[in-house]
Amino acid sequence: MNDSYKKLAKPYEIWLYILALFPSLIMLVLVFLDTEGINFTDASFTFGNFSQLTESSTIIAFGNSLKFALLSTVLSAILGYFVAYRLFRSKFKNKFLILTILILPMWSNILLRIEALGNVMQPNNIITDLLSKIGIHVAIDIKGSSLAVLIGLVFTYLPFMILPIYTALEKIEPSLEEASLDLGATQLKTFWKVIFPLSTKGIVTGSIMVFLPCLSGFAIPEILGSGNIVLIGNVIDQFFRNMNYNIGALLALFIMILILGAIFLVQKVDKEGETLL
Amino acid sequence: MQKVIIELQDIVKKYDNQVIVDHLNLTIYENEFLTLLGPSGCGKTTTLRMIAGFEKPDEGNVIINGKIFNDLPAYARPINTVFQKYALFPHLNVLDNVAFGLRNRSFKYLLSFFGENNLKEEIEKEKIEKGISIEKAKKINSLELRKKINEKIIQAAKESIELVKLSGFEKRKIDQMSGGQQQRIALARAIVNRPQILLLDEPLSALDLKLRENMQYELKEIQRKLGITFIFVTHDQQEAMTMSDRIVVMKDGMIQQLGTPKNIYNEPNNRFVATFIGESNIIRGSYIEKNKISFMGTVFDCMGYTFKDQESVDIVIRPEDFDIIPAENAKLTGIVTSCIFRGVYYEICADVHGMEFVIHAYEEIEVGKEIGLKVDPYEISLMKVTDNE
Amino acid sequence: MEQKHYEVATLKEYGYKDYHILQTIFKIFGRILVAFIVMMLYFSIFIIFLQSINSSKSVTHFEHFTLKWYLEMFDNRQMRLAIQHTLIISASATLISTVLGTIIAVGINSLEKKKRQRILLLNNIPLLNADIVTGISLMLVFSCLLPIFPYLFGWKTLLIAHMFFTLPYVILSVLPKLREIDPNLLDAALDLGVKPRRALFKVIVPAVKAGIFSGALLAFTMSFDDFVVSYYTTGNGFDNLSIWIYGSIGRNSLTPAVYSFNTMITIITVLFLLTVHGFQTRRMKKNGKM
Repeated sequence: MNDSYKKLAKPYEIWLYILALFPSLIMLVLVFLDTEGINFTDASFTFGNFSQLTESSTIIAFGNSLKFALLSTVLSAILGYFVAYRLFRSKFKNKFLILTILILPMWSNILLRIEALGNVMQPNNIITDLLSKIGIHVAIDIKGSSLAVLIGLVFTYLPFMILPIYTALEKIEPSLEEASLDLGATQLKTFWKVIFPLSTKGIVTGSIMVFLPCLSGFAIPEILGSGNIVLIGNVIDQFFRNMNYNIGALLALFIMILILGAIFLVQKVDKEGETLL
Repeated sequence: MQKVIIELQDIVKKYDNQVIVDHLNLTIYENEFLTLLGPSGCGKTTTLRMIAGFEKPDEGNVIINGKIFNDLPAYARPINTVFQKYALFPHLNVLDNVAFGLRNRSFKYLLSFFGENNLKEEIEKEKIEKGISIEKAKKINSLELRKKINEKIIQAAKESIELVKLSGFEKRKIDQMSGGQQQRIALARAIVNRPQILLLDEPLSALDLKLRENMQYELKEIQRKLGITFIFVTHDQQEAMTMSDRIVVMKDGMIQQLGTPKNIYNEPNNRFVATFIGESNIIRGSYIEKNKISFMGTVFDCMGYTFKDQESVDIVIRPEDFDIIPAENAKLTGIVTSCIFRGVYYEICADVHGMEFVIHAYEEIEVGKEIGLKVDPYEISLMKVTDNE
Repeated sequence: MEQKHYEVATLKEYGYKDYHILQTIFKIFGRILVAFIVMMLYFSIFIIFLQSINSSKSVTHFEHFTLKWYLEMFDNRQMRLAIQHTLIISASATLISTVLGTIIAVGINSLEKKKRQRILLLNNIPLLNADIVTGISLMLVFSCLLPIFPYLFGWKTLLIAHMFFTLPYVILSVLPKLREIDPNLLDAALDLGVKPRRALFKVIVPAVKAGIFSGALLAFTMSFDDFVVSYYTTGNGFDNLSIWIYGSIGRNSLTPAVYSFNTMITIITVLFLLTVHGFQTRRMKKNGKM
């Protein structure tokens, strides 16, 4: 490509330095201070913020976050791979349409969707009401439970798992599959020895795309967990809302370290960001 | 007589109502090197894919070893393929690629593949060498057998890699290999399974000329060594001529001619074959009587063709079959319009009574000169007139 | 021609078991599972739809069918404002990000490998970072600017924040398409005397249209639906729909009108996409025939 285009990327690099890297520095400073919000005038140096890391509430919230994020990732990976594989196998080769079917739900407000999902997780809801009108009486009551949060997380973030896996599957040369069959491997063997290993890139990307928002989200557990289940996101939100920026920043940085690890992992398997979208 | 290995019976294949292969009948024998030759879109690759099991014929039967194979999946066929773009597994190294076929077979299959008794004997011997008593050595469990089979697979893969002259590259990654090397790996990966039939789908088309010529020679060598049937698909007539025992010339899903390279070159069936294979001058003429034909207003002698008297025929004369003689004592004369040096010979174009002839000669002749042309009776081949050209 | 009779070859002869029936069962099971999952993805939208045609305000009881909420959609002043804000921010963020993102992608694509990978690493941060961390980070940066620009928080910060997390989507959609362009194409254009800037719009942009389009679509989706980042970066009462809904859920004062709005958006989207798809297939068929 032409050299004169190179400078086009420069302003963006600066933009990223200011908006993506600089705030981490501010947070790093905040961690060691005791301030009133972001006001540095009465700031005093302290290590006291770190004691929050050993508080049982933090540890429980963090454990919850990890648990839900891991569970949702594993579940979405299994379900997502299944869906992506069936889509890939179907005669339906229109990527645009598949993409839209998967992202269409996202055009509805996420909070509304979660709230609606929460409504039907209560024993009395619009569905049971309609069903009872035709003589069917059922009741489920899972709102406020871990299961409710898990269902909410999985079905909110599943598209982010399906898309990269589908993309990775689509990029596999069809002749590789033929070669494997030709060499005497059955369909099942071909899947495990050729298709699956070549699509792991998509699974890694998808898993990260699901794991991270699940780890840090606070709206879904708050609504579906009815306040019973506290994740690290809720804790951070509380601290910032109470103007305790120092501890908030500390916890946020902690999450960020995890995420940076994930970003490096993505970079490793997918240097040019091919399966990310 | 040679043993039949594949029979294609009246095969029809359509895509979206477009006929790709049109009532094709073909018998393929054991140990032969058969080439499907034709321009792109002639149905040769589709035919190959039907033999391999990637496509099902709409009509007709694919018969292998005397049994109908139409519905048998590709993996169950005693056939391996070398793909056009090699289709090597990018996540495996060279050795693992070559061992792929055997590693994914059932235990039972591998037992008979390597010979159960053979394996047992070897294990026994090894055990005795290690100082285990003969009685104990005779008791062989399946774990030991599996271990032995694994060793055997690696050994077979290494031998196969050696056969294609790539020893030492076993641990390399596929993307570190050049096009020519990848081509050899693909070949090794296929032949390690000892298929009855090897299919090659334009495997040399991505190589440069020099490498291609080397590989042509080597392929032929390997085929002779292994004694398996090779079915080769190409659009390159030179390649087909060099390697094949028999050539199938295809066009529009139909066989135009089937024969040895010599036979196809010297006695083309129709205009398409005559022009597709080598260069030729095709002249409309008529068959007067046995061994007498006339074209361009002159009567010539010919040999070995029988048509109806006075039937109109197409006459094929290859450029190298003309002899240039002085114009005074020639039946045919023409004016030289161009003369190009082609290495071994000169390509001369001459205007003969309004028709352009191509002649190969060993001497340069200046443009504008009048020349006489002579052709021996046995070098004239006749074809039935076909309307489709 | 003599027609010999042949036996049919079986899998068993070649050392394989016949899993035909098992495969069919698996296939049917797979279809059902996929249908179920896709249904689950749309389940909440269906509930929202039900709630939007329910005459009762209650979300637990279906009274009778009504369209009155659709008529009252914009009666609530706060909600109307929130919708306006959402549309303005999403539309402008998408537009700006699409244009800039395409240009940036061209820039990134022309960089050397090392530099390109570094900038792509940075580019992954807004994409992969936790929403809450992104939101807080941006809030901190904007807070630092407060002494200089006292009234910064509001639509300006919201727009910058949305651009921040939509740009990577556009860039990552356009980049792979750029890589597919034949490098000779650009050289040919430049060789013919076209200025680089002109070549960008005349040669490159048309070649990566599809990537730009899907990037814009993704950007709009992300921006339209965003809650967490907006929640931290807006101010001065400039609420978008998500923030307003979050507040309403907290106060238990959600009006069914918002369900109708959501359903309407879904229907419009479906219609729009169907039209686009219809045009595409028609054009494809036309091209196929020619």
